[in-house]
Amino acid sequence: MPLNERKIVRIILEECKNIEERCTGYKEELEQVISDIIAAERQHKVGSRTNILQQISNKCNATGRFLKDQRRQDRQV
Amino acid sequence: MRLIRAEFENFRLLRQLCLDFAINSEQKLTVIRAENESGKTTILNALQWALYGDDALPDKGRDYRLHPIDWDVSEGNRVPISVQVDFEVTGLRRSTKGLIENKRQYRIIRSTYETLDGVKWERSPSTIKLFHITDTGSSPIDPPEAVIHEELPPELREVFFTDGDRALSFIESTVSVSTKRDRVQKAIRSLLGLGVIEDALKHVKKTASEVNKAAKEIGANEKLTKIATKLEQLDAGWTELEEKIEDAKEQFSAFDEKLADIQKQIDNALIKGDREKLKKDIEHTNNQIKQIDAQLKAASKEHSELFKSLSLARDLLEPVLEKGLSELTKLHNQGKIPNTTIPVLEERLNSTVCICGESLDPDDDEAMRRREYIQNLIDESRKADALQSTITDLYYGSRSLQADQIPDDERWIRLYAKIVERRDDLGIVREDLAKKLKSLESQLDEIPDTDIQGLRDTKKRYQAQRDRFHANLTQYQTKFEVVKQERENLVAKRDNLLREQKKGERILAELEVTQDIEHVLRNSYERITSEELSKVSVLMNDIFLEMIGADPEQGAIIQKAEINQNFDIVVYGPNDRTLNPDRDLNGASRRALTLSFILALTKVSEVEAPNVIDTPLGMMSGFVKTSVLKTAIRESSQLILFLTRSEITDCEEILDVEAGRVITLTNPAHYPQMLANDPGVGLRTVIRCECNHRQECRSCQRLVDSVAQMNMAL
Repeated sequence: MPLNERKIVRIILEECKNIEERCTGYKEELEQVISDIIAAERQHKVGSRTNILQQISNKCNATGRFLKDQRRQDRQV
Repeated sequence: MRLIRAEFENFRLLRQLCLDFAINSEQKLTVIRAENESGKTTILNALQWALYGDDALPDKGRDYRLHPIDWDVSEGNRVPISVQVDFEVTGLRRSTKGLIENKRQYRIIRSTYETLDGVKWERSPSTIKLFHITDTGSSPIDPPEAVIHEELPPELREVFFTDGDRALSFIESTVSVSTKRDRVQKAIRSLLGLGVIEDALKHVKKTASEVNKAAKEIGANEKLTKIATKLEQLDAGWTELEEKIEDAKEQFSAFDEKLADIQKQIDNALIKGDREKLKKDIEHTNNQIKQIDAQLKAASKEHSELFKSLSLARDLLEPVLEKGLSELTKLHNQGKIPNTTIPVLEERLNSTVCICGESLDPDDDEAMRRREYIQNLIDESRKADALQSTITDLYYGSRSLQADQIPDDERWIRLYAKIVERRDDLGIVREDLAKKLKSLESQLDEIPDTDIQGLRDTKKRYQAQRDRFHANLTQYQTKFEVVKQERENLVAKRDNLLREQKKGERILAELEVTQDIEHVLRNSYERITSEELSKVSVLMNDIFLEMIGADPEQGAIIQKAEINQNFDIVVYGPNDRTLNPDRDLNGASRRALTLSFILALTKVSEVEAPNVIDTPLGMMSGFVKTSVLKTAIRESSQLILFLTRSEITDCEEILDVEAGRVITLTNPAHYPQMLANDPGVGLRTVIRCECNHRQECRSCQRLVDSVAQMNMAL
C-alpha cells in the first residue's frame, strides 16, 4: 500500500463504525468497498488507464445488491 | 518506501559511484561525508532525476549538463549517462486477520545520452525502466511512473529530497504568499491523501446521480419520477455551486493577498517619505529663501548707503568741527545769538521810560542823549544783523552736528555694527534654509517614483473586488445550504417512495450505499483536514522548538510556529506578534523550521519515505546543531544526510550510535590545496572510501585548516 493509504484506510475504517448497520455484515462490506474505491482512485491518479466511474459504479451496485439480498434474508430470519 | 542503493554512471562528477544506504530501522541514518564540491548536491540531483526525470533537475534540465565536464572525446562523443536506484516498498493488504504488511523491492534505471559537439552538447530524451526484484530474478513493470508516483508523488519531491541551502521554499519571502501556501497545501494534501478522497467523493456522487436516474425510470410512480427529476437537477446545480464557491474563495484569497501586498508598498513608500508633502515643503523653503534674499538685498543697500550718510561725515569731521561748534555755543551762551536787541530797543524808543527806569522823554536833554545812544545801538545792531543772521543760522543748523546732541545709537559706528549684525544673521538663516532645501531634495530623490495616491486608488479597487467576491461567496454558500436542505428533504421522500415499491428495493439499496460511502468519505475528509492538519501543526511546533532550544516559558523570543487554516506557516514571538521568517529568524532557525515542517508532515501522515537532505546543518553550531540532528533522526523513517566535516564536528557521538552507514566521498581535484595525498586519479570524478566520520585514509585525508589556508595564500 503506497504512501499514506495506511492512515486513510484507518480513518475510513473508524468512520465506517459509525454507519448504521442496515443489514448483517453491512459495515464490513462497506469498509471493503470504500477501501477498493480508494485503491482504484490511486491507480487512476497515477495514470492507470481505467474507467474509474464505471469501476466505482460497479462496486456500489454490487454492494447495493448485497444489501438488498441480505435485508431479505434478515427479514425471513 | 526506503532507498537501498544507488549507482551512478557518468552523471557529472559521479563517473562510477555506488552508494548503499542504511535500511535498518534501529540505525536508519546514512551519512555521506563530503566536503564542498565533492558531489553532494550532484547526488541529490541525480537521485531525483532517476525518479522524476528532467523536471527534477535545476531549471528543469535546460542547460544543465549531465556528462562529466572533462569527458575524453576519444572515448566517443556520445556519452552514456545512467542512474540506478534500488528501493523497497511496504504494502498493506486486507485479510481476514486484518491488515498485513508485505515488502517489495524494485529497481529503477534511468538513462540518456549526451552528444558532444565541441563545447556544445545535446541530450536525448531519457528512458526509464522499472523492475520488480524477487529472490528468483527481476520482472519489468510498466508503466514505471505508476509505482514511482504512487510512492513518491512529484508534488512531494521537495519534502523528501531537500537541499539544505534551499530548504526554505515553504517559508522564503522571495516568493509570493500564494505560492508558499500552494507549496504547503500541495505537500499536505498529497501526504494526507486529500486529493484522493476528493476524487472519490466526486465519482461516488456521479454514481449516485446515475442511480437516481434509474429511479426515475422505474415508471410506476409519477411522484417518484418528479422527485427523481428534481434531484437530478439539484445534483447538476450542486456541482456548479461547489465550483463557484471554490472559485470565489480563490479570488477572495487572491485579492486579499494583493491588498496586503499593496498596503506593504504604500507603507514602504511612506516610510521613505510622502512625495507630495516633500514637494510642498520644498516649495515653502524656496519661498522663505526668496524672502531672506530680499531682506539681504535691502540690508546690503542700507549698508552701502551708510557710506554716503550724514552720520559718517559727521563722525569723521567731528574733530574738525569741534572748535567751530564750541565758538558758536559760546556766542549763544553770551546771548549774542540769536539777535533779539533791535525790537527791544525800538520798543524802548516808543516808550518814555527805559527798562532801567531812566527817563527817555524827548523833551529832556539827558533823556535825548539816552535816546540817541539807543538809536545808535539800533543802527549798530542793524549793521551787524546780516552777519549775525548767518551765524545764528549756522548755530541752529549745526546743532545736529554737536556730538553731545547725538544719541549714541545714531552714531555711525553703531549704525554700521547694527547693519553688519543684521546681514550676518540673515546670512546664517539663509545658509540654514539652503541646507534644509538640499536635505529635502535629497529625500525626494531617494523616494522611489511611487505614486502613493495611485497606490491608494488601486488599494480601493482591490478592496472593492475582494468585498465583491466575499459577497458572492456568502451568497453561494447560502444557496448551497438551501440546496443541501432541499436535497435532503427530497432524498427522504424518494427513499420512502422507493420503499413502498418492490421494484425500487434494489435502487434504494444502491442509493443507501452511495449515501453511506459519501458520508464516510466526507467525514474522513473533514477529520483529516481539521484534526490531521492540526496534528501536523502541533508536531511541527514541538519539533521546531526542540531543535532551536526555545522555551516559551523561559521567555524565548520564538514562542510558537503553526500552520494556519490558510496553509501559511506562521511563527509567533511574545504577545502573539508574528515574526517574519526571513527577517526575524536566523539562518539556523529558518532551516530548522523547514525541516520541522517536513518531518512533522511525514510523521503525521504515517508515510514511510526517505528524507534525503543535503547539508542540513549548515549555519548551525552547538546546541542547535546536535538538537536538529537528534530530532531529525528520531522523526524520520529513513534519513540520508550529506554532511561536511564541519557539520559533523561535535556530532560524532550521535553518529557513533545512530549511523547505520557512513561513506566518505573525496574530490581528487582538491589535491594539493586541501588533500594531504595525491589520490593518483587524473579524471575529475568523486572517489569513495569506507572511512566513517572518525576515520581518514590515504584517499580522503585532508590538510589541517591552517596548512590548507597557508597553501591557498601561497
